[in-house]
Amino acid sequence: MAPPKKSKKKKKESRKLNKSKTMSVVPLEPKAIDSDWWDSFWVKNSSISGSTVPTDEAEGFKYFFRVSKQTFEYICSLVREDLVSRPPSGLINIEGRLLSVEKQVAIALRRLASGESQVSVGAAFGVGQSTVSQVTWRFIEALEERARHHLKWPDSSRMEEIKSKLEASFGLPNCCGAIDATHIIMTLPTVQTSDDWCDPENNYSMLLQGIVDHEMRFLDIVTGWPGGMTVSRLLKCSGFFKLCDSEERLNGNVRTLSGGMKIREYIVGGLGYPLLSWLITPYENNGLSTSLSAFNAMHEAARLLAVRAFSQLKGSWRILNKVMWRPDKRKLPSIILVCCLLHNIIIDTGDKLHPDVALSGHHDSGYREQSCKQVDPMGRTARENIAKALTT
Amino acid sequence: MLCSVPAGKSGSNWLDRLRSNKGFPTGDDDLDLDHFLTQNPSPSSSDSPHSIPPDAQGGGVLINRSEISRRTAAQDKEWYGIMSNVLSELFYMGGSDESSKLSGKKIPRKQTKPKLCVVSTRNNNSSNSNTSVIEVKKSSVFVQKGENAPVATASLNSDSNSLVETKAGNVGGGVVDVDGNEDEDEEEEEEEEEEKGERELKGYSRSEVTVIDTSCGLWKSEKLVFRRKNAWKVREKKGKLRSFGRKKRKGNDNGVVVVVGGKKKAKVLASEEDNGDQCTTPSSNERNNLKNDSGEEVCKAATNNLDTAKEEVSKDLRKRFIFSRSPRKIRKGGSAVVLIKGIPADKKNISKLSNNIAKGTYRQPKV
Repeated sequence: MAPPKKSKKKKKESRKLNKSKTMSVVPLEPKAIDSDWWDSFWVKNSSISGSTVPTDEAEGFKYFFRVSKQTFEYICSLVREDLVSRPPSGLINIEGRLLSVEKQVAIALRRLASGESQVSVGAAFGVGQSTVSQVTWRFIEALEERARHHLKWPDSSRMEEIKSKLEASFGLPNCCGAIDATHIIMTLPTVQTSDDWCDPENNYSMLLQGIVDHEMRFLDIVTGWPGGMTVSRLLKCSGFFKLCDSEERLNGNVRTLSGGMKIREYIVGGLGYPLLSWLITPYENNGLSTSLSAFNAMHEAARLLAVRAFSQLKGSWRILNKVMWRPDKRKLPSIILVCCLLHNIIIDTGDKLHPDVALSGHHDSGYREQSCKQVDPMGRTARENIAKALTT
Repeated sequence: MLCSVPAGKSGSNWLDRLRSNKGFPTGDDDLDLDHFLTQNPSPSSSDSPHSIPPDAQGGGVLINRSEISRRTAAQDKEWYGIMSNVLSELFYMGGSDESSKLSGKKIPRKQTKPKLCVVSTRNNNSSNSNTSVIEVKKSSVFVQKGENAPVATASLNSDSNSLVETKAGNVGGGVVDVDGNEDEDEEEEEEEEEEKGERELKGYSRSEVTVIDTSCGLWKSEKLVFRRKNAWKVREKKGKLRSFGRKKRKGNDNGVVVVVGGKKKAKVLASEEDNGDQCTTPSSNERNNLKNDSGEEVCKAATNNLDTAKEEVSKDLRKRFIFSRSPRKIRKGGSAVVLIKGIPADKKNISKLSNNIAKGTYRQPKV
C-alpha cells in the first residue's frame, strides 16, 4: 500500500539525492529524508481490522513502540550519530530513499517490542527483511554504547533514596533492591545443541539476572550465561556477587535500629538464592510463627518488584518472551541488554505504559522455583535481625 | 599482433608455448598448483622442469616430492618441510582427494579457516602434505581425548573444533545432578584443576559464551564455560574479542583501562577486536578466580507453587506501589561519563590504529 503523496515525494527525494551527489560528502539533514515515516506507518497500520490499536494517535505510538514521542526523540538523539545514513552507503528502503534515523529507530523498536518476524516488521514499514535485520542490529549496537548511563549501580545518595522508598513501601530497613532471574528461551541448530544451554524445563535458554529498585528499574544485570545454570550459580558467576563478596558493593551505611541492632545493606531474593549476609531469602514455609510469616510476606512483596520488572520487561519487549529462533548466542546478550536499557529509559523519562503491556502471568511461566539450601551463618543472623526489627 | 595469430591450429599448444617462454614446465594438463608450488621451494627444481612425469595426475604430488627430496640436500628437505606445512595451512594439498571421497563432495582449494602459520620443523622426516592435512584433522581427536596434543596444532584448531569437543564432552555429562555431596567433590576438584591447562579438563563440556555484566568494567566479555554435571568452571577466553557485523568501533575497546570502583580487576583490551590473525596477544585477562567454587550448592526444584500467595501479595503491592517517579533529569552524558570518559575521543587515532593493525584484512573473520 503506497502512501498517497508518493509521486510528489519521490520527485523531491530524487532531487535531493541528485543534489547530494553533486555536493559530494555533505552530511544530509536526516529529518529531511523520509521524515513522514510515522504518518505513512500510522495510516498503514492503525486500521488493521481485528487489532486492538488505540484510536488516539499518541496512544497508538506507544502501542507500537512502547515509548512516547518525546522518549522516542530522546532515543533517536542518543543513537543519531551512529545511525545517520549518508549516501552512498546509507541504508535505503524499497523505494530507494535513505532511511532516516527516526525510521530506523522505529523499525528496531518495533522489532524488539513486537517480537514479530523481520519480514512482517519490514512489511509494516515498507522495507525488506534484511533491512530490518541490519537496522535492528545497528540500533542495538549503538544503544548499548550510548545508553549505558541508564543502567548503573546508584551512587550513595541515590541509594539512600532507594532504601528509604523501599522501607516506606515494604517496611524493610536498609534494603537496596530485589534480585531475580529469568530465562530467554531459544531454539538452537542441531550442531549447537549442548546440554549447557538446556535448562531444567528442557528448553534451550539464556539467563538474565537483574537487580531492581523500588521503581522496578534495573540497577544491575547479567546475561549471556547458559540456561543450564541454576540461578544461584548464575549469581556466583556475576560481577555483582564478586563485588559484594569483597565488600565493594552493598557496603554503604549500616542502619542501627533502636535496640542497637545493626543491619547492613542487602537485597532480597527468592528461595533459589543462597542466604548471605547481603542477600536475604525468605524462611521456608513450614510451620512458621506469625512473626516470621509476616517477615516472609513483606519480603515477598519487596521481591515481587523484581518479578514484576521482568514481567514488564518481557511484556514490553516481546522479542524476549518469544522463543527466539536460532539466535546468534554472541548477539543475544546485546539484545537483552538493550531491552533492559529501554526499560530503564522509559522509567527515567517518566513514560507511563499501558498496564496491559506487561505479561499477565509470571515472567518465567512453566519454570518451577528452584531451591538453594546454602545458608551463610552471617546471613542467618542478618535475617533474624531484620525479622526482629519488623516485629518490634 | 601476437595475439592475433590463429591459435586454433594447436589449441593446447599456446599454453605450452607460453609456459616454455616463461621457463615453466610444459606438459599435459596435469600441471596444477601443487606442481607449481612444490617446485618453487627447491632451488634445484628450476633446472629440470621437464623431469616431472606428465602422467602424475593421481599420486603425482607424492612422486614429485620424493624425487625432489632425493635430489636435494638435507637442508633443502628441512625447508621443504616447513614450506609444505605452511602451505597446507592455506590450501588443501594432495590429501584432499581422500577427504573429498569421505565427505562425498568437492572440497574447496583454500582451507576454510586458514590459520596463523606456526613454522615448525617437527615433521621434516617425511614432508608429505598428506600427513599434515590428516594431522590437522586428528588434532581434534587429541583435544577431545585430553591427550597432550601438540600445542601449536591444538591452539590452531581450537576454534574449529569447539563444536566437536562440546558434543563429545556432553556424552553423559548433561544430567542435572541433585546430589550435593558429589557436587562438593567436583568443586574441590575444580580448585585443584584450576591451575592446569584447559586441555586437561577431561569429561567437561565446553561452551563459549558472551557475557554482559554491568558490574564489570567492561560490560561485554567472552568466557569459556566448562561443565560436568553440576560443576561449572569459568575461564576468561584468551585471545581476541571479536566483534561481528561492525565496521568501526567508537573506540571503547582500544587500550582503555577501566577500573571499577578501584577494584584490582582491571582489564586491558588492546584493540583485540580489530584483527586476530596476526596478533594473538596473550591478553592480560587474568583468570577470574571464582570464589564461588567452594560454596555448597544444592538445587532442587521446589514444588511449592507460590502463585496464589504471589497474587495475594501482588494485590497488596499494587495498592501500595506508587509510580513515584521522581522527575529525574535525563542525563545526557552527565554522569555517563564515568565510563565514556575513558574512551579516547579521537576517532582519527582509532581508525589509524585499526588501519595499521588490520591492513589488508578487509573483513574480520566471522565465526
